Amino acid sequence: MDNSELVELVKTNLSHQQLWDSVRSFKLSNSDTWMVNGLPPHKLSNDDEELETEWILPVELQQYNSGNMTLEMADQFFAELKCRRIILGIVNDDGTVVYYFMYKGLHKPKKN
Amino acid sequence: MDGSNKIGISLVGSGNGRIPLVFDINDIKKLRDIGVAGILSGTLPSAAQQNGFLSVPLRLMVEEALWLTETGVAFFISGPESVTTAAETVTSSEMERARQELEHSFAEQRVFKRQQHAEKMARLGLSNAEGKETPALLESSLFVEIPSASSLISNEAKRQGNDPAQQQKLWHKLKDGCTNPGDYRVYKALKQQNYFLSPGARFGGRFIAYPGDPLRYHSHMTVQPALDYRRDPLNLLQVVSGGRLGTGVKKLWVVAGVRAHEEQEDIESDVSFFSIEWAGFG
Repeated sequence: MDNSELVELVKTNLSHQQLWDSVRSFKLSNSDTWMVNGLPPHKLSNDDEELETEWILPVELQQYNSGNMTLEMADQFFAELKCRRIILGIVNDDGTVVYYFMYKGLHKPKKN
Repeated sequence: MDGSNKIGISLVGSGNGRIPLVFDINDIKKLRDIGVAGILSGTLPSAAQQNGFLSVPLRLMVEEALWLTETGVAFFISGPESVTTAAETVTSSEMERARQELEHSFAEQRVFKRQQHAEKMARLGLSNAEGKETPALLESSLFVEIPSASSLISNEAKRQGNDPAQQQKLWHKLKDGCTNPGDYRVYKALKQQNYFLSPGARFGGRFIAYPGDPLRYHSHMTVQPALDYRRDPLNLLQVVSGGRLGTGVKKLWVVAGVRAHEEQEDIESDVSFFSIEWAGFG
């Protein structure tokens, strides 16, 4: 899944709009998929014990095309990153980015 | 397990789109104990899920019916056929006997009513001759008892329950009627983890998953229709809209990928789940 064109936009959004620190991008092995990681300015969920590095997958939202990310690919990302969750950085065609947690397996809703 | 203590699931309707219904209140209690709540739909099928005070029959999801029979807890009763087959077994001598039994019950009632009438007249100090008997009134007060369950059909149901070939046939017919066959594997995988499941249309999914009895717990997840693990892409527009709705009602939006090798012994690991919710920023 080639998402190289979205990486810069998501990095800019994270560091300048969401005020994240240490935002970097990496290319996953055996794949043309890029991931972004960084440190959020505060805990993202009340269930988190401490601030930790988060992994963001930039993906493009298109109205008439559901994209090409399968659940098998999602499993591969989790396998390589060995992380609890990844964050989908969904890039809209107007340059805005929305972020969604994606957990592997069944997870409980977060506490408010 | 002997056929007699299994739960009877009636398949009602025609063609492949049959609706599984349970009519026996004791069976409904048993189902609740094994984590199948179903939906009571009696008298108002159009608004079944919105009303908690409806009566039998209990409507089950197709996946529930398939799972219950596969695990040997229940058996199928083919709705319309069992009535016609049962009716065809009736002989004329049985009809005659039924008619005689009815006449016998009428005769007993007449005797009883006349006696009651005589006692009432005596109490009021009127002679019985004064109150002339009105046969039309007496006849119209006779009571016809209609049993709530048919013994003919229950015999036929038992016969169907003990016919494995027929059960297999009904099971496959019901399964073939499913629009998304992967959903059954998702249902089984969730059931193995002791979730209560109910239909998910209220929150835009295929199932709603509760961690226990829905009367005690809020649901945790809206499970989406099963995706093909290797081929189906994750629809991001659905992630955004489903994720917004899910976060609003405090449910995780769950996608399940089913690995495609049909008819193989399907185990829990054949289904991969991912839980999605809004990250709270952006």
